[in-house]
Order: sequence, then structure tokens, then C-alpha cells
Amino acid sequence: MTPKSVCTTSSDHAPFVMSTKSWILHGVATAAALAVGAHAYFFYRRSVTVFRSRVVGIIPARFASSRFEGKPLVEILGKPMIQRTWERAKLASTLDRVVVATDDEKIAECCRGFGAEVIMTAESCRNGAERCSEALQKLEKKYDIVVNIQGDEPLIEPEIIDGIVKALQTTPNAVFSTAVTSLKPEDAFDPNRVKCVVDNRGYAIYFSRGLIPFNKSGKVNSEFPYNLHLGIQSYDSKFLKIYPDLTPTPLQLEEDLEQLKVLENGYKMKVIKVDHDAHGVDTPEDVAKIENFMRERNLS
Amino acid sequence: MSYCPASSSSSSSTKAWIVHGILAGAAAVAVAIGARSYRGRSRKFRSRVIGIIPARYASSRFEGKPLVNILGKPMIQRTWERSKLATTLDHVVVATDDERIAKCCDEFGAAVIMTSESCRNGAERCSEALEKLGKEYDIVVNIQGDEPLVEPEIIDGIVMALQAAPDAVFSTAVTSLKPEDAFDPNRVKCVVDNRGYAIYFSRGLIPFNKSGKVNMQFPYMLHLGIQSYDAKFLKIYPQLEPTPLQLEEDLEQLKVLENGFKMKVIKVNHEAHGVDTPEDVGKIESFMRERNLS
Repeated sequence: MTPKSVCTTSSDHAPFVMSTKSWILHGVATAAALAVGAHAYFFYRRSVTVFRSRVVGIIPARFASSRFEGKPLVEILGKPMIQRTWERAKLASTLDRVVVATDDEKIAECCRGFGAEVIMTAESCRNGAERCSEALQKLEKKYDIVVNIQGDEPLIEPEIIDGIVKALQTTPNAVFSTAVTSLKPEDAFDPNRVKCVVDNRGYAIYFSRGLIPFNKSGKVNSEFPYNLHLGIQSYDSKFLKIYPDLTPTPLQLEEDLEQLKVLENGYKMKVIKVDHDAHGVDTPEDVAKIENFMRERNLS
Repeated sequence: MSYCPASSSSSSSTKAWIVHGILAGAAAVAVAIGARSYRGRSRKFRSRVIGIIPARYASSRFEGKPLVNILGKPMIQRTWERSKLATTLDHVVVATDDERIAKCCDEFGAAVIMTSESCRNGAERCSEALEKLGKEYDIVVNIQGDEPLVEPEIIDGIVMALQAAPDAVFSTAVTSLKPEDAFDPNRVKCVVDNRGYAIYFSRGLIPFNKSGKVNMQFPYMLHLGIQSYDAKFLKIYPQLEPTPLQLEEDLEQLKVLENGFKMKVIKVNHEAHGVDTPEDVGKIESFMRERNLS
């Protein structure tokens, strides 16, 4: 005796005439499923291959400064520093756009003079990230990543900009990326040189003005590849909207390191390692130093 | 032929309805049971907890240390008695590599697991002991044998921290760092984030500051040796390759952070009274006499 199947048949079950309805139903269901599947595929594919695809580089440049007023406009071998930074930034292939964010008309005028886009921002911005955040809001287009390019590093390598952008594009769970280079042993105990330690996948663990990692002897280990933190950083734009308004955190305040606020709030940060001789211009004396450096290497 | 051929016969479609109804009902019941048992288990997350006191005989500075008498009682017994007071521990065992220690423990009624002499550290010894235990546990507390005045509340605190933080695999404790210890590389400092997850441990002063001097107003943290692990994590932890920061700082716990695992840290009030050298015995006995502890 044949066992009854789940869908009991009857010896006089209707042939194809009756099952046209079910064919139609099954057909519609299948088409719907295919549509959902195709949509999901294309959506997913887009978000995987072109994740965080719209990138803007912002050069915050304020006029006032305790040590060096009007610094962005100082001439380095005959060209304003802000122009040099801007020209370098334009060479970065990952940036869709580069703008200068300033609080001063003199800087704005200078920038327009060499063809840069300018966004005016408030004098009250307390730091570069805040200025970038304000500028981002004023841009008419939407961006996924904002690169905060320091105006006082006129020899910034475009590859470093591209590197931190790509790090953030390939790391969906990070909201911030930055770069480190080799720390010179003589800088180990200089609190103005910020050290950085990372985990085995390149996520930042900590930044400090003290030597990290430390060791039992308390002396610098000439064999150890310490990391020096560079000022360039890029942010997920959704994160940048809230970052400047996050309450300052204890370690950030004690070390006086803005980036610690990111870690203390539990956000993840990607760090890339680059070869870069820092040539920041902080004081009028630095101008001569960098001009010598450039002359020696035939840079103009 | 479609899967369920439509039929003009009404008795067949009634049967189909019944069958479908039963299947759907059974599915609903199964889902409900599954959901309830999942929820039920998560209400008692990581519920099975064991405390292990690793105690080895050999030591460069102080051989046979666990057996040294503190006011007439072996140190290992004092640690064990304190651990037994912790309410979150289902069991406490001593994991040793030496018969003399095992015998001493038998005498005061402690459960003992024999482990190999080659264990390189307490975590490895705990891991080996865990394997040898017949039962399954969710959390293992590594209780240092050389802190005979460990507070049971600290043990409970780190267990509860791990039970409340499913994404962490490790928990430990810190206490206030004394300013005079700021630049002592033997005192390990710790920094945490705003939800109590460890950020970094260092023999150097962290957080540092621009002046390079200790800040008398800042609540620096001193890392205490007690730690607890998720049991699944403990199985793999001793075998993880040593990592660069761990090796440079000589701090085992950095291996956890460098491998991207999360660690919970609780803050406690604890005067550390570790016994590392024979001289420490005199110190701790004086401390105990002053406070009328026996």
C-alpha cells in the first residue's frame, strides 16, 4: 500500500487546467523573489565595491595664532604655504574635491587667487576637526569621507592622503583613520612628539606623549620600531558631524591629545604606516629650515 | 505538476489545510520554545564559574612560596579560604605542579588538579587545569596564590563584569596608583575607555602629559594581578603568538588587546600585599597583626 504523501492526491486530481492558477501564483512569487534578490545583489555589490566612495579634502586654515599669526600666507620659496599644501592635495587621486576652510578674508582672497575653492567658517572653531565639520555642513554635496589636511605641512605626500582614505574605505567599522611614521630615538622622551601603538590589524590602541611601548629598563630601545603620529586624519562624515561636540574625555584632557576622545568613546580608528619626514611649519624659524630642505632637493 | 496540486475535491483541500495547519502550529511551538530557551540562557549568561589558584613550587626568588607560613597558616590556604568566600564561584581548585603543595591542600580540604611543570604562566596553568576538570565552565578566575589578602568582593566584581559584557573575553581590576609609583616600571598602569574597556597597559606612566611630571590631581590606575577569562577564550589564549607590545613591555595582558579582544576593567579599593620575597612575609604579618587579622 503506497503511503500517503503530504499533499494528498486524489485519483481524479485535475490536470494542468486547474494548476494554471498555481503556476501563475508560483510565477509571480518567483519573479518577486528574483527582484528582491537582484536588488539585494546590486545594492550589496555597490556598498562593497564602492563603500564610502565620495571623498572631500578640507584644509582648515585660520589666521590667528599665538606663535605665528597669518601662518598660512607665509611664503615658502616665493609661494604662499597654503597654496603649496593645496597643490599637493590636488594630486591625491582619492579626493573628489579639495576646499580650504578659513575664518579670514585675507586667506580666502589669496586662495581664490590661485584657483582654490574656499568655504568661510567661524573664528570660534577650536580646532581643525571642528572647522572641517562646519565646512562639511556648508558644502552643497554629500560626502562619505572627509580628509583633514593640515595647512602647515606644505610637503604632504599625496600618497599619504590616498592611503588613509583607502584605509577607511576598506574598514567599515572604523570611523577615523590616520598615519604614523618611524619615531627617531632622540624624540622618544619629547612630549611634543606623539607616539602611537596599534593592534595586529592596524587599529589604534593608544596615543601618548610618553614613550609607548615602555619597558622594564625605562630607556629607549634602539631596536624597537616606535611609531610617531602624523597630524593628517580622515573621518567618516557621519562621525565628523558628532565628533566636535562629544564631551572632552579624561585621557584626552590629561595628554592634550584630541584623538584620544575617539578611543575613549569606544570608536575604532585605523592607522597606516608611512615613510614621511615631518616638515611642519610652526614658527617663523621653521620657514627657513623648510626652504633649505627644498633647495637641497631641488624642489620648487 | 506543482508541488501541491490543486484538486477540485473539497475533502483533499480540507486535508491539505489540516496538514498545513499542524505543520504551522508545530513550527510556531518550536520557535517559541527555542526563543524561550535562548532568552532563558541569556538571562544566566556565563553562569558556570570556577576559581583556579595556580601554585607552582619553583621560583627564582622564593622557592616553595605557596607553602610559606603567614601567622602560622600556609599562604596557599589563606588564599583558598578567601576565595571560598566569593559568592560567584561555583568551585575553587588549586592547580599545582608539586606533590608537596598538593598534599598541603588536601590537608585543609582544597580540591587539587595536578598540572605540568612546564606551564609558563598562571593563565597557561589555569587553561590546563580547566581541560582536566570534567565539568564545563563559562568563566575561569585566575586567583593569584601570592595575594593571601585578596578580597572576595574583587573576585565577584570581575566575574560580574564579564557576565555583564558579552563582547569581552577577559576582565581584571585596577586600584589607585600612588604618585610615588608613577615612574616605577614594576607598577603597571592602565587606561580605560568611557565604558570600562581597557585601552592600554604600560610600565610607563599613562596617561602622560606635556610637562612629563606626575599630575597629583589625576586618578591614575594601578593594575592588579587578578583576572578572569571566558572559558572558550582561555582555551586558545596561551597558544596565541606573543605580540610586539607584549614582548617589549613584558606584559602578558597586552596580547589580549593586540589580538583585538576586548577586556573589562573594574576599579576597586585594594592595598596590594603581594608576597614575592621572604622579606614580604614579615611585612604582611605586621600588617595583619596591626589590624587584628588572623
